[in-house]
Amino acid sequence: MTLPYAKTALASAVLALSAGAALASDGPSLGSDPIRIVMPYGAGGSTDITARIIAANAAEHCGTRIDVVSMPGAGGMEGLQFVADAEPDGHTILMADYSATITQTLTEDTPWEVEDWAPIVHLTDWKPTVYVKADHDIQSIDDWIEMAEANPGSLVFGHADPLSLVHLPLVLLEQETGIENVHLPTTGGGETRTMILGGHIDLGMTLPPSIVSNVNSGEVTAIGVFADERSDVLPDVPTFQEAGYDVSFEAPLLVYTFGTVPDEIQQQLSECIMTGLASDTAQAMGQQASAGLENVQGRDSARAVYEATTERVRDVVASLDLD
Amino acid sequence: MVDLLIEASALAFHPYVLMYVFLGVLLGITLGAIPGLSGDMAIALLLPFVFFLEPAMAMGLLVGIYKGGLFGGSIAAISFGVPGTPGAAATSIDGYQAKLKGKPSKALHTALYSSVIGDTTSDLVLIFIAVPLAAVALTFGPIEFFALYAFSLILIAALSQGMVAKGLAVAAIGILLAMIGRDPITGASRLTFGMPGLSGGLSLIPVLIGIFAISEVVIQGSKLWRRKVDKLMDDVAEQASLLQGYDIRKDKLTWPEFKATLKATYIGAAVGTFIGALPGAGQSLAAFMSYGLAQRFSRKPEEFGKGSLEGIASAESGNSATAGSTFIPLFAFGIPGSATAALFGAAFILMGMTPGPSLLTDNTEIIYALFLTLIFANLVNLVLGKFLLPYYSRIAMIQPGYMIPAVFILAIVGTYAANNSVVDVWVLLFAGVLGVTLRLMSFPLAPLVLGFIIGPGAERALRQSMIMGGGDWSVLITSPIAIGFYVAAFALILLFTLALRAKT
Repeated sequence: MTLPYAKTALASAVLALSAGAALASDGPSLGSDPIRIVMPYGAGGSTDITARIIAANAAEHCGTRIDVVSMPGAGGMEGLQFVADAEPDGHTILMADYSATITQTLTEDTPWEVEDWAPIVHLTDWKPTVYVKADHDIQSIDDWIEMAEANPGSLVFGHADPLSLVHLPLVLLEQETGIENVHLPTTGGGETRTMILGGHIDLGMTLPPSIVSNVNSGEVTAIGVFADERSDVLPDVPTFQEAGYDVSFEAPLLVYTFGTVPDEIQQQLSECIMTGLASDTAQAMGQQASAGLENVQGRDSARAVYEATTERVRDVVASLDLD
Repeated sequence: MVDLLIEASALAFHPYVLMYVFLGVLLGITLGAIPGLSGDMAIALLLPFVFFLEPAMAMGLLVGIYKGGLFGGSIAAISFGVPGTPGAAATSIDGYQAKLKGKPSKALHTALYSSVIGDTTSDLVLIFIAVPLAAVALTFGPIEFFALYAFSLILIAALSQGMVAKGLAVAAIGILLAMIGRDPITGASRLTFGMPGLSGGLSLIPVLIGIFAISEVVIQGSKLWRRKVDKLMDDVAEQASLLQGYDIRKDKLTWPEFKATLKATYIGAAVGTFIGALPGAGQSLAAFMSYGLAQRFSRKPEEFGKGSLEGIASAESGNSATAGSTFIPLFAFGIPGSATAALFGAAFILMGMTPGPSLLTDNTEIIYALFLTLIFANLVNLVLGKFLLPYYSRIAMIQPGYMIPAVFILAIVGTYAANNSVVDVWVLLFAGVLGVTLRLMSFPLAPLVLGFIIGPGAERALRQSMIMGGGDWSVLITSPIAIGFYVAAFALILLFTLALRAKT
């Protein structure tokens, strides 16, 4: 009784396979296996939210399910390794800011070079922002510079990991102005904010969406943004350029494939992710999360910003005396 | 405030919301019971769907998973000596011993009741005194955190009576293991022996499961080492006879037994609530600290480590009491104090609510509905747990011949699934070997795990303090809170050394 059904199923499977093969015959193409977005950070952060917005919206356009895999192991290196080792079929892709792909590659002994990563989508640019407790003596960029010049090495500045995207701008500013601060590494934005609010340290750096609520309630003051333009979510906070210090260091959030993935597949992935993110649902989700997904750009922009950022990081790292 | 709660109850007690809470708790208990898997993973997977649900329903689901997971972790800890979640590590010390004595049902029920009491206490604190407690939590900077870590290490290491030196020694091994990987201040690799897989350090879950579970599996299953483990094998034989005649009706938690655990439960509830409110301190520390203090203040401290119900109650209550208070920094300042709080923060953001001081004022109704859901989920946890425990108790008493391979496979799969990492599986196996070695030399394992858990935080806090103090050690005693912790630690040691002398 069940045999005819089995046969029909088999026949349709064969049909489907040959149809797939026919489609695929004019060049390498994405198959129907699930796509994995590897994120070298823990779950729950800004990158994670953005990755999940992509997964929920781009799947139908990419023609297959998209899973988000969090691989924070080995300081994120395990995630990069996993993507580098995967079959170059475009089904294992990476989403990260420049500290994973550029800074760590330049400063550590990694099995890949910066050029081995192929950026395919330029999601957004984060704007590192300096902030203080609302009742601190420092309430502006000029206050900070003055106080630091008067008493070098007296102000404690909390940032996340050394050379991370909320630390490099501080290094640049110190080189530009000659001021000296005590650099205090923390586990991340949450710990920095706890120390600022508790009055344990003087200044900290983070990304605007995470302190908007504290700024609006008058607990902390954001004093300056390391970007070419002000942040949309903190429109009253001046950039360092406005204050007369020519330091700007925006951090692009990019989606990458490993360089060995064929060009056609890179293009296809880039397009389907962008189409997914242009959908109303994706835009609404992005709005709510302040993820800054209003101006997502494709491969050309991604490549350009990746190369420019690599040059800048290379310069800073070269100027530091790393052992 | 009470009228706001009544207003929100229409939202919180909507039938669909209740259904989601129920589903969440069931899912959470199940995932928590599987070593390596946790409620956090399910919450992360469900994040995008939060956007499509009504906020109250989404909250119900996530809260249910979280609470179920917290209790679920104790099921594997008691049944097989495998902490299902890091928070349940302290529960496994006495829980597994109680099961070996043929009392899984008593142990599981103690865990359930203390978990629900601890959790409810913590939720009430969140609802009524979140703001003042948050202000206290902020006074903890690096200097104060180092004092807290030092205090808890001394407390736990000195627990193992008559084995203080051994306790301190394994705590040191734990700290050493935690130092593998990245230097927390400079970011340089250290103690990795050139292996890139170790450059991020050892993960908690494989170390934990390896030390407790794999070592247990090896000890129980090994025939080759028979001569060396002869003494332990006798216990196994004794246990097998126990399993044969297991009668769940004789293994009921009685009212006097329950009442005797209450003091330990309250200690756990207080300690857990406070530690939970400190950003970054974590459930495991809360559980171990509660366990240590409960033993100090117990009438029968000698039973701790041998299947004491008080031991289970304090650890499980301490672990679960972080559940409500971990939201305090998130609500008050938008600071996620734990991995779970970070995930809830992300869920709030996806629902259009920004965690932070304005969260409550901007979303009064939904946050109060969340408060009610937190309390209601505890009830569901209690009822569902009560219903499921008889089955879990019987599963706990399955013959080791079937159980050992199953636990072994679950441990490996769960470890891999937690971080998608093969390195972690190797760490798991090596930790197992270390666990067996230490047990054969009769070292206690709990101080090692605590050392491993708080080692990185303690080191970071110490070095941050030193940076802030310009390299001067005296910075460590510039804070009254820190001095308080040091004095308490010395007082405890002095007190119990004297008490021990008086006894002998």
